[in-house]
Amino acid sequence: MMKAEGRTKKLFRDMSISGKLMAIIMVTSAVALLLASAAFVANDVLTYRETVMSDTGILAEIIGSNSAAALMFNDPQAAQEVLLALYAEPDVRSAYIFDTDGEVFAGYERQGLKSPASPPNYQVEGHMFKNGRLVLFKSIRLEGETIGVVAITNGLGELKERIRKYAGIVAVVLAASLMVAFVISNRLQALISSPVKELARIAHEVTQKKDYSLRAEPHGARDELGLLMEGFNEMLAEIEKRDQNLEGLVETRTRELSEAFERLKEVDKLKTDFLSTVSHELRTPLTSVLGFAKIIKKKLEDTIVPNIDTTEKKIGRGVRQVSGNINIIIDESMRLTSLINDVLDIAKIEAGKMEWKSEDVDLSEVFLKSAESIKPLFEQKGLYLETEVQGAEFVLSGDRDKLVQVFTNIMGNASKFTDTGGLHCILKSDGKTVTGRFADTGSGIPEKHLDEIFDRFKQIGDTLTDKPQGTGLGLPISKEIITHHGGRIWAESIEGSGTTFVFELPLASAESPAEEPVRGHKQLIPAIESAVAGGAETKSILVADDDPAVRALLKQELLEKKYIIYEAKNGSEAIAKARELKPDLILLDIMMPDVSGYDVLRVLKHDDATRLIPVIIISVIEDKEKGITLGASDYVTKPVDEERLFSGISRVLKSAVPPKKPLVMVVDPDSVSRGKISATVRARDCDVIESSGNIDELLGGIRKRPDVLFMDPDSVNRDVLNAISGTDGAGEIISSLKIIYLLKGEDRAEQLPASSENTNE
Amino acid sequence: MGFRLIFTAVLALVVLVSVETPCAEPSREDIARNQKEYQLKAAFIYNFVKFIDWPSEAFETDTGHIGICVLGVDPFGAVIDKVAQKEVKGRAVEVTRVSGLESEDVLNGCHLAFLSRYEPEMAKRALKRLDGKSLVLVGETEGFATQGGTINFIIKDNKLRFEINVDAAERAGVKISSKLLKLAEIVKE
Repeated sequence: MMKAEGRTKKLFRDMSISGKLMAIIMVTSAVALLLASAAFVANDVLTYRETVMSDTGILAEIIGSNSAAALMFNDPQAAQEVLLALYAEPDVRSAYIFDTDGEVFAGYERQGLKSPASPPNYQVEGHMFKNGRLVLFKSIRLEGETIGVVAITNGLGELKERIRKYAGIVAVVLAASLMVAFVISNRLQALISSPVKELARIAHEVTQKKDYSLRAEPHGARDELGLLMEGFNEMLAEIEKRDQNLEGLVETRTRELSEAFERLKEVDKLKTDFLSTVSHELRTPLTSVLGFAKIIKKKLEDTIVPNIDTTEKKIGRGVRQVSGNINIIIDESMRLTSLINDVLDIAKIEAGKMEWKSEDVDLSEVFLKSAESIKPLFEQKGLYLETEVQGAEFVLSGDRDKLVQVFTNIMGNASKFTDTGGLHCILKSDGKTVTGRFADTGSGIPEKHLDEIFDRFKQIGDTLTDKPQGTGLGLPISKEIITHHGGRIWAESIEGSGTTFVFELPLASAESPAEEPVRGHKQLIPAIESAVAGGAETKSILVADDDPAVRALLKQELLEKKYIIYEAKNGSEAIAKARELKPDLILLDIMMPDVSGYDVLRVLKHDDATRLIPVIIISVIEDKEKGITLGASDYVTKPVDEERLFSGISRVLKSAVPPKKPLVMVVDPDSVSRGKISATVRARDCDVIESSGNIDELLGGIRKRPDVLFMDPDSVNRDVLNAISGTDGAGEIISSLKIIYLLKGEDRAEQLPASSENTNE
Repeated sequence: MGFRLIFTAVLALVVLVSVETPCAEPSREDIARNQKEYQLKAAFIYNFVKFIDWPSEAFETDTGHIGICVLGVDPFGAVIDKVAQKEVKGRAVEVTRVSGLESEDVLNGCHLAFLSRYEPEMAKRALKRLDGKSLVLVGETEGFATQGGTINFIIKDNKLRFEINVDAAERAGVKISSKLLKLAEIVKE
């Protein structure tokens, strides 16, 4: 019941307004009509009852009067006859005449009654409605004397019939009225609902489309709904007006902003262009100056000095002076290079254009290498540089070169500002964070300057009296790098007793290096690796640069490292030579007159013949991202830092191996032993040729140009190889082969490293 | 009141009387025996008065009494006198006993006159002397109504009933209520 009521309420609540109005009208009409009908029917029924009563009373009177004589003369039959006249009254169920003693004198009962009639309890006067019947008693009087009583029972059939008829009429009238009410209310409710609906529609549309130019259509009436609509429209107009103002304002501001932005972009572009031009212009000659100064120094030391007579005072002094001057040129050039690099770095940081690599970096290795490279600076001043590594996990994801920069900056700074004592460095890892502490014994920094030293172009000390020893950009750049890696850097100092720089770097979700897949023959692995990657002397490098000075410099440096050098003086030549000579590596300049380095790179990487040749870009343009995207393996900026370049070259050449898997030939007549060695070698991602030592087999295998030959000395010895060398082509291959002899024994894995013999011929 | 009881009680006597002594000379014993019968007849006579309208000329005044006369032998005794204690239509009822019809005006105060079966001669004389008088003659002899009497007691189905001669009533100028007529057996001359 409650639920049904709730549902009805909810149904009504969610009805449309026209539905509600109609429902209200219909319900009201129906209730009013029902009440009116009920009142009318009740009145009619009551009136009719009165009528029936009075009629029955009259009837009783007549019966009484007519039966008086019969009573008087004790003639019940006559009385019966009188009563029989009631047959004409269909509603009279029964009638009885009582004598004064209350005995039935005569009776009449209608025939065909459903329930048999019986005389009512005697009573002189009165009436009662009982069980839908009227029982009326009337005394029979004669000459003022009561001589008997007539009792008539009226079945009220006509009344019931009447009520039935009324109910029918009421139902018909109600139905008809409701139909009419429905039609009328349907028309009239629109007077109220249509403006409301219109309002709701417009409001909904406005909300949906956000179109404030829409208006509700006024229905013309000056009633509350009309006012509401007008108000609504006015509000929309107001919003529209505001929007227009706002739009105008926003438009103006946007235009102004975009103009300002365009100007800024232009200025920024000018600045970048300027910086790139300046750096190019500065670096190109600097590269040559530095390079040749180094070459001169080397030649001087290696060739001239030993061959001249330095005992002669003048010559000796001249040589020393020249050597000292060259050293100054080299030092100052290097200083200038690092200054330019710093300025460019800070400019890039400012412009947000710094490019960050994300690779796994072993911080302890970086730390130790940096210390090693910076050590000479300390040694020059007679200072100590101590390093200490605590903990085991140091691998984080980051930019190796940038992190090196941080270490060298901090350590370099310490060397500059420390005159006695030295620097103690600790790198500590707790598995989550790497903390570096660099405590020097220098002059220290006043506490108020501790934060300022990380600001750009801040150097503590009087710049007039103290010789500026850097750009003052090292620490700000370091701070940016540390911050980029999610860490923080700060300085602790007691003036006069040294400064301690501290940084903290969170470790990347340090992935432990994958387990070595093969356990047995463990000692074979380093042998294989060195064998495959070590042979720099067989590698050829194509140097492509339009600047002959740069080419000469690079050639000289690389020749010393025993690389085979090819040269290309422009882009097209670079492509041609790369195709023709198939070098192991290409060093590529970007700014070349005919074809730019980028285009050369693009061509090479789309040519199957040259696709696999690794390319290192050497350029003054700092767009590493673009170079790497095009397929370059590394990107080195001019002026060239040799160490950086050589490490890049060896890394690239090493990593260039996998595309062409090293081919390893295993020669062993014992198939079990051969299988074991082959499996180990395969696990190192090498291709394997197995051979039992049969000459033809051996020759066929060698013709496939294996990189390494593992050989059982018992079955195949040097003589066999020499014999093979006689056949065409094999000799050349064998001469470049790395041959490793395997010694048979009880525990080969243990004995192998000691007894293996590496032969290069 | 127990009209019915009285009626039924009396009924047996009436039957006995009428059967055993249809025409015998009335004796004191007979009269006593028939007391019950005459009680009933007295009641009937009183009731007759109620259903009969006499013309106003028949009364001396508007409130003049209604005269009931018993001609000759009086079989009622004191029973009929009880009737005189009641009023009918605002008029007192007076019972007069008339012993003979010798004088011309003995019937002047009578509106209804009863002739018992013991006075056949007197009945004949009375009938002859009726002309123009508003007098209702009530008898208890067979054929009394057909001979010019207005009302005559009869026994029908062991019940006391009566005959009415409507012509005689008309002659007497009295109106007999239809209700009464309905109960009566109508006879004509």
